Amino acid sequence: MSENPVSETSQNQKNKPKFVGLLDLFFVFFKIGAVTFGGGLAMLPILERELAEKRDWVTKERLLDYFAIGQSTPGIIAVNVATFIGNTRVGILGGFLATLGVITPSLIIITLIALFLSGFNDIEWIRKALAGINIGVSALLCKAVWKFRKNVTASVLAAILFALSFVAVVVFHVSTVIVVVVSIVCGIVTYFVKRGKKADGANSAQSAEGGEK
Amino acid sequence: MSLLQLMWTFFYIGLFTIGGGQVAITLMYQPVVEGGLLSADQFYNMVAVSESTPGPIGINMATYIGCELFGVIGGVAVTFATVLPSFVIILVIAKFFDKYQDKPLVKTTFSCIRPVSAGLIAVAAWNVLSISVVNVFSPIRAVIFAASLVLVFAWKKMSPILLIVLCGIAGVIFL
Repeated sequence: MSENPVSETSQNQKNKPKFVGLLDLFFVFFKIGAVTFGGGLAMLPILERELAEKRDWVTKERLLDYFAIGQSTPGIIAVNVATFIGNTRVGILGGFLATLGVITPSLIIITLIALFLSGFNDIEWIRKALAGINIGVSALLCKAVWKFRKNVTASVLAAILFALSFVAVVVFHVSTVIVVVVSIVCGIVTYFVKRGKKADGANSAQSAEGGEK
Repeated sequence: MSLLQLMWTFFYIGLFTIGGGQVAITLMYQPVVEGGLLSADQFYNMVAVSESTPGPIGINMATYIGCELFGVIGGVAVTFATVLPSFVIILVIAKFFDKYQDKPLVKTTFSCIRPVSAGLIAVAAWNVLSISVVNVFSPIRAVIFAASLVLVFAWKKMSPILLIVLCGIAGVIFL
């Protein structure tokens, strides 16, 4: 719980004894798997807290990138993100342990339910607890969106993309994969348009897009 | 169907699930229900349980189906089969991502992907909010939601896990 803050962890990560690092990786994702209700995206606020704020393993922006990649590549999003982060931090073994960590709670809980508790969903207090949990999860997700507001207000294009993607999925039920693919195409086009401008205006055009970061 | 065949089927499902758990459930329905392994009733009961237990829904379903048909070993084996394709694919992508993430093209592209990714989180927020508050509106639900929002925004150190526990308790008491 009382993992010590950012400052030293970020620098010394590589010098940490490898074994401890690997165990930590497994248990962080175990914890995340054990408290994630309602699908991969609901995992984001917890990941942010555990990986970006408490441990400084990734930046919030990077996390968002991982989610975009996880969403548009085959596989369960939560698993994709776990593999990605584990692999980036410690290599293939890290990817494996992070993945194992995130699926182990499911394995244990579901196996117990399948073996002993077939009427799980009919239990009154569990239903009530879940209804409450869902309300909390929606508040957490609202906060997550708010945290990424910088990425949305970075440019007019970004704000439009944000609004369009929401409307496309909620109102028109466009597949999220298509939405992500369109944003990729959009990014590539933007790059070449900018580069074209740069070539046209030689040096003077540079000031026009200095605001990238 | 033997365990090996079931693992192969779920390997395929893992490979073709793009976009999350809901897609995985759609893909599972055909081989599992239409293939006669489980009844539709059993299947949807499993979906309900998978949605209401912690962990990724797709993984919960894989474990559940494997366990139901082939016992504990089946659950573990089928889960690993489901995870394997994405594991390999992500390892490959991660390799390239590390190499190219600082290239201008990749940076610009991600500056367009991030707002969309944020948009999709907004969608997730809206979906959960719909099923938990908007569609089943009651004053007490609104109060729990408002209280959660206040906690989450006003108290920076608020742990998501703590909030989930508190909301679970509030649900048992008030809903």
